[in-house]
Amino acid sequence: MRESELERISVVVQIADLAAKKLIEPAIDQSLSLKQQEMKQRERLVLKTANELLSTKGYEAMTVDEVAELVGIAKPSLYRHFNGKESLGVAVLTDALKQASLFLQSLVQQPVSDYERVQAAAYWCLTQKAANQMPTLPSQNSNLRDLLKSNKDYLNLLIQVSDQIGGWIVSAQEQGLISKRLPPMLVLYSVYARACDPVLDFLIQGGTPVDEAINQVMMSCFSGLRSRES
Amino acid sequence: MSNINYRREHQMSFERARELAHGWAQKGEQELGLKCKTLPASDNKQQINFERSGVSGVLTVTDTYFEINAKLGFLFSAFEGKITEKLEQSMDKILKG
Repeated sequence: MRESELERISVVVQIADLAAKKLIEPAIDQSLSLKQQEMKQRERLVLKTANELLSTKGYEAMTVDEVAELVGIAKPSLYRHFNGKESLGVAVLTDALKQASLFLQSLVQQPVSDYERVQAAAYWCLTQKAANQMPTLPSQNSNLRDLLKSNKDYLNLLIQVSDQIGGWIVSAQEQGLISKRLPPMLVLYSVYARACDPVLDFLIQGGTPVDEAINQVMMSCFSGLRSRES
Repeated sequence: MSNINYRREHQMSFERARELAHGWAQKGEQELGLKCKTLPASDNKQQINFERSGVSGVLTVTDTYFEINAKLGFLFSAFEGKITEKLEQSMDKILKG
């Protein structure tokens, strides 16, 4: 993967991300009463705060008290929106998938190849992670996982996102741009793994600038580790 | 992306077969979140389109057979074997009942 390719992907991701953000946060309906508008705004703030905590500390370490304190509301007020830590976790993870889905829809509008769309999806995961906007999934034995598995909205979005990226992967394989020897599902999981890739954190904590760290992870993901010089 | 094709011959009346097909669709709506749409029937053929994220298809019932043609999205294609097995089991159960 060359520098010029990465620059192109970076621009595509910025454009698509901007379009997606406008869709996820439309202006609050002014026909609602002031109180209802306030409630909506507060709900968004709760989700945003919980998202940051899930991205930095993870689900197990996050507490409802901490979310309420950071938002600046009393715990009972938070319970008016979400009836507990688990329902808040489900809402944050569903919201993250909604954002991913909107980003992919915006990506479809961009004049790029399906291979570049797969790269852009991985790049977007990394930028979200670097900005602490990518909540991590809970561990295998958590109640939240069970709740997610039975949540219709979450599952539908997961299927939708996977089908979208999966279609691009298959198309890129048909064009010989992604190895046909790799099962498409493995390629999809590799894209998803960028959303929780610890290598990015290691590089950033070690002093590598964020953009450079993202580019390096992209290179190792799409070009591998083997020398291409000879 | 892959396709599932299932077909079973039957000996029952067309009216009974239609009833069973509607029962299958109703169960699919309740348990699997399928959105089903019944198309206008002819004297010996009824089709029901079904859809949910990751899968879409059509159930055809005539006076001699039941047939399901479904298209699986990328994610469900990985579980094609299991899905086919479940589908066959559910249809067999309905046909026996």
